[in-house]
Amino acid sequence: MSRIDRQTVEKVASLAYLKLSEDEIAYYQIQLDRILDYIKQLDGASDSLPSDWRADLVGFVSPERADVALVSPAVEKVLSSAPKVVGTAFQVPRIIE
Amino acid sequence: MRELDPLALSASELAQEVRTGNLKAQDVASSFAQRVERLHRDLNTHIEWDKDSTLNEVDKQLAYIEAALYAQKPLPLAGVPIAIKDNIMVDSQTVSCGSQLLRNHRAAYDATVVQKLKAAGALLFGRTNMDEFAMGSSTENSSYGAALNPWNRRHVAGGSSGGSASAVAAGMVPLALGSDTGGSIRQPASFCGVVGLKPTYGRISRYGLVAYASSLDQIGTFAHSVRDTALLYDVIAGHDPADSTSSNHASAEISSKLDANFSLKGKRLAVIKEFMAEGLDEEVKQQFEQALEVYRQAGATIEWVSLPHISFSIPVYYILATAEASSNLARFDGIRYGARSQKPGLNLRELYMQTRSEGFGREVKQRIMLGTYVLSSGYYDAYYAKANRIRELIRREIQGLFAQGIDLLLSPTAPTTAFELGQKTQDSLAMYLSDIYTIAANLAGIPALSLPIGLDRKGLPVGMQLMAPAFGEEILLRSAQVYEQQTNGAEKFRPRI
Repeated sequence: MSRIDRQTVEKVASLAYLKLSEDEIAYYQIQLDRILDYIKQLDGASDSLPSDWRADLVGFVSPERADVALVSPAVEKVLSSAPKVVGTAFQVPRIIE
Repeated sequence: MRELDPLALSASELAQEVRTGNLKAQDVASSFAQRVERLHRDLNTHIEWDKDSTLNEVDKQLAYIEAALYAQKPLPLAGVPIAIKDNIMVDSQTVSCGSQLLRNHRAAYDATVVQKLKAAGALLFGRTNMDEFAMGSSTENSSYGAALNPWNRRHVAGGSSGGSASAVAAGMVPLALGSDTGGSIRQPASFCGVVGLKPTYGRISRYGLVAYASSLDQIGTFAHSVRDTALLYDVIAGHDPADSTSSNHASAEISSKLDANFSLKGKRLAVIKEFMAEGLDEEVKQQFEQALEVYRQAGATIEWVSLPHISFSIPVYYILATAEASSNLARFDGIRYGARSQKPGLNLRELYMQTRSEGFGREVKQRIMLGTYVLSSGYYDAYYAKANRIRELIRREIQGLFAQGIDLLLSPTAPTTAFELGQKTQDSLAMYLSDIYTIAANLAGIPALSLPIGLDRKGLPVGMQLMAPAFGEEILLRSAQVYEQQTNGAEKFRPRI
């Protein structure tokens, strides 16, 4: 049985802030279903790790840097990429209705 | 001054001739610019190539090179052209990641690797084509059209760094940078017959690399030879405080150690049994077995080992990478980043949705949705948490082999040679399976390299993958060079164009 129905595709698209056409819904329903079916093979993987194992506690330790404020020379360049600028701020569309 | 043809020289030779004054960096730039001009449209290697503006930028760099040489500053890449994948920031240049969404986005700073290249005297030579946001294995997901394979233009260059691989293979540049999340350097290197290196996770700064899956992404190199690979690697490797995942593990220069006495006698090389099974093309298998024989002749012992969880690499990867991508790509909403939809009358949520739906291509939407699905309430443990645990088991199994004294793991780089354009575009799963041998190195964070070892009957290159323990780039490159020296490999693989 298909694990991905039309409603699931629409729900996931909405969570991901995507608006899909009818063709896209049909396409992703097939592709996601095939991929999730393939991924299902993980159920057959033996798992010998302790139940309280956590990925964030494994090995790698990030070196820390000195807590010193640095000047970013990028402000003007970043602003030059913005569609609209007021002073040193981005001007964005109104979001409070 | 004696006549030298820059196009006939390796990156190492070019730098040497420029440093000693036998070759002018201007002449190098002009020769390679003409070659890019002649070939880049046919092979669609570049997302942005503007000869005049490239040469203008090069002019500024030439003044720096001259001053640095006068001051006797070492310039390991003096006058060497290098192409940059379009997801790595070059100050003031567009960085589109192969996406329409970022078609107008200009980088506000240089990535750390780009800063290092400039300081080393390199000449930046355009930004190369790639699958959108590095999601793909053929460059067919680029919104600027697929990069083509210089050995046969009906075949893909591989991906996602297909533009970089094709440009190096076609002799447009001696060096290029790519990024590798699941094989995006090694697979196109294999398909195009060049050397591709994905270093240890944390070895190269990711500052200025647009993130796809942050726990797997790594910047790496394309070159014609192991020597040139080492030259570029030495320049870009090392700790960077600007990248919190950058390692401060001591980094030793490798270039100076190449060519010196190095024997594989007594070294234990292991073939991964699970990779030599169904799905592996017979010709690729034969070429790989011949390559093993070269290593045997060089004194290495070849063993067969089993990694029981490695066959789960692809499902693990497509859960973790898409989960990370769904989070990383949330910033592309038309407000924070990306070309904002111009459709009138939209509220904020509609604006986000319209912008993302217009700007993202088909595969990117698919991976964002897959990532959203596996992280969604009720599915997290079954997918994301489970995949993380299997990733750890794969890492431990690989580490266990190295701990037992295995020096390198060997496999073909990809199960087939470059496939035809359009062959896999309607079947995501078939496309995903072309990365089956390369993903484990990303999951385990270890360095891996693809080396050309032959051509199939269609005249397409076959690659062999070497994997070493974390921070084992030296043995990786020195062992790869042994193969090259035994077979004169660095000179053999040039497409006739």
